[in-house]
Amino acid sequence: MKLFKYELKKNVLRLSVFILLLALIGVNLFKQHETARFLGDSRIAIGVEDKSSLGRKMYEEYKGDLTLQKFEALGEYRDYLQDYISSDEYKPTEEADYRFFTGYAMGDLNYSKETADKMRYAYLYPNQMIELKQRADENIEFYTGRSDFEIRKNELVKQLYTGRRISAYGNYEAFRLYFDYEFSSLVIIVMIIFAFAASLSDEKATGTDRIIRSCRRAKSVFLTKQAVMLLFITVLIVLFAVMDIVRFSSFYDGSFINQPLYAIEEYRYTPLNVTVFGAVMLSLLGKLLALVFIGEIVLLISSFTKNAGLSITLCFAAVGAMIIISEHINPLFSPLSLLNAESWMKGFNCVNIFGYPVLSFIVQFVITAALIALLTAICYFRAGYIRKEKGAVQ
Amino acid sequence: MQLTLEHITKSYTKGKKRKNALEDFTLTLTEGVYGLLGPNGAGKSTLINIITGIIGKDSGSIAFSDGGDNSFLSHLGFMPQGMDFYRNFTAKDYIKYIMALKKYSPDNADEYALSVLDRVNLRSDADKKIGAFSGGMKQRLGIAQAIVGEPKVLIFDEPTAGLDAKERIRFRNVISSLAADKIVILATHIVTDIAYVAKTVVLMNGGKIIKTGTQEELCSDISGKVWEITSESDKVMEYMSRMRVSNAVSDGSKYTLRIVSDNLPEQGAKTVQPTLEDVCIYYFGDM
Repeated sequence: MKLFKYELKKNVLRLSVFILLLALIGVNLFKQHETARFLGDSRIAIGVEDKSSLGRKMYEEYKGDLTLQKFEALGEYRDYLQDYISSDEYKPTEEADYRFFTGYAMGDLNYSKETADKMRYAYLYPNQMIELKQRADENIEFYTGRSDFEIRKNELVKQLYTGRRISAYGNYEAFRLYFDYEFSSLVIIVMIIFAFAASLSDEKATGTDRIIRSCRRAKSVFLTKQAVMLLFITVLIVLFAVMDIVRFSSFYDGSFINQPLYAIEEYRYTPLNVTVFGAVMLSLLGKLLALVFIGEIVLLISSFTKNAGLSITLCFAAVGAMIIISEHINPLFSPLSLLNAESWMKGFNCVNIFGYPVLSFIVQFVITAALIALLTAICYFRAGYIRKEKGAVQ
Repeated sequence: MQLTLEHITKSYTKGKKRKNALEDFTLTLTEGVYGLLGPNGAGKSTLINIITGIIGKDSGSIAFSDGGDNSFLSHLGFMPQGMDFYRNFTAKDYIKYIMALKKYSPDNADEYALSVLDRVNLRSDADKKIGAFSGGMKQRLGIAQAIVGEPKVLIFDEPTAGLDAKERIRFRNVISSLAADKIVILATHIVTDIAYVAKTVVLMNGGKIIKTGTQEELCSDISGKVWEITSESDKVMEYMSRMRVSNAVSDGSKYTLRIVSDNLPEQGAKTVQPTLEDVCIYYFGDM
């Protein structure tokens, strides 16, 4: 525990790290605002006090449990709007008329159609899954005698997509944006580089590595360093996840976190039968793996030089190159693709492993974990903590 | 208490060539200060790195006995060459960090850290950030970290590099005060560091021991081989290129040269009492 405290102080508890973190949190707040404002459906945004957000009132009226009454009420309201707009009484004006949710009869009509579509998506979702199951059955029949893998794959489809239903109509903009938001991960990468790029190089430069090796706890130091890095990354991931979700939820409704992930229309074919909250947790696990992988790369680079500045530069160059490369290689072998939850949660993808289908993201997790283990081992040898001659002195 | 090094050999491959960094090095050390003297590349740091386990040896053995059953590492204090510190640590923090590394847990860790700093005259600076320390203060902190855990073997590798005269004197005094019941190994190429504190001087070159003994013994070995002559200033450079000159002092118009030579360097030269510097010049030439 004492070693942990001092490793923390060596790497993380530094004024410069704290200042950089505050600065990056500030930048992130701005970026979150821009993302929420321009990439979300601003018609239902809470924090935007202009005409464009007036759709929120209608949303508040119809959100929640899907009931026949709500469908009928919405249908009646649409009929009323259509009649009203067709009548002589209706005159388009620029002035808002607060008898209508959006301030405008035409706005209400358009928005009620969209609301009906979204409610219909939730209501009819089980039917879509039944169709999917039927297609899987057809495929199984087709592949019988031709491909065991395809049969197993379609069995898996049936297993994953059977029994799904959505019980409520809600808005998921906050989570849709969160799953696709990458800037926080970039901020954490910068923090990892800043905190750990000089970790081993500073030890070499100060001669601390030689003192460590001449002490009794050389092995513990490496494990402690790993634990400090893991804690640092975990804290940052949780901190930024909370900030992102709270921030996006301050614009959009974040109350449907216990609905299934497939309640988000874009995630209708997700293989994950988890709630949105569960998906958030899984996305954190994915980020943790990807960022620990980057952390190990950073430590490895740090072990090659005594110059902290050079190490930081090399780390930025290496991570930049990895980001570019990761867009052009199979995501299975690109740990960085785990940073964007949308990319691995959205659709059904599986890998043929000895004739059995395994969901791609599981393979991705395993490969990343294996790469982390490999890098950790290389780092351990590179760090030079190993006493070259065990028991040299009797 | 005894540290025995027997037939230690270590070689490196550089390109296609194989170079012996240590060759059949044998030495037995007991309590007191041992000065390892030798030019750069003599093998001092290699020897220290082998004793501390930082690098492996090709052959030979090292044995330590103190009558107890603790491992050697728990008896070892080490100050590496060119040591530096974390600027955001205070001196006390750093000592406590080393205590954690050495797994040394006295009853009152704070008080112990302060007592260690006291021994190197840094107690009043215990709560200052190391970033604000002078070179001399850092060097004393380096000594302080080495004595954490009250080790019986202390190893200092080029400890006075970059220190001014005052700090060097302070360093020697600290070493002397520590040496009573410890084996202290002081590796340096600065002769005066060793001249004042070492009970035994080990002269090394090319990975071998050239000579071992007390200062007096080493000096008496070259007795009659150190000469003093007086020379015109225009001939000084000529003497320097021809002979091993250990010192040259000007009195205005003339120079008094101290020459180390087996033979009479010039008619009129008179022998003088050798010093440790003369010994080094005799065995190593220029250092």
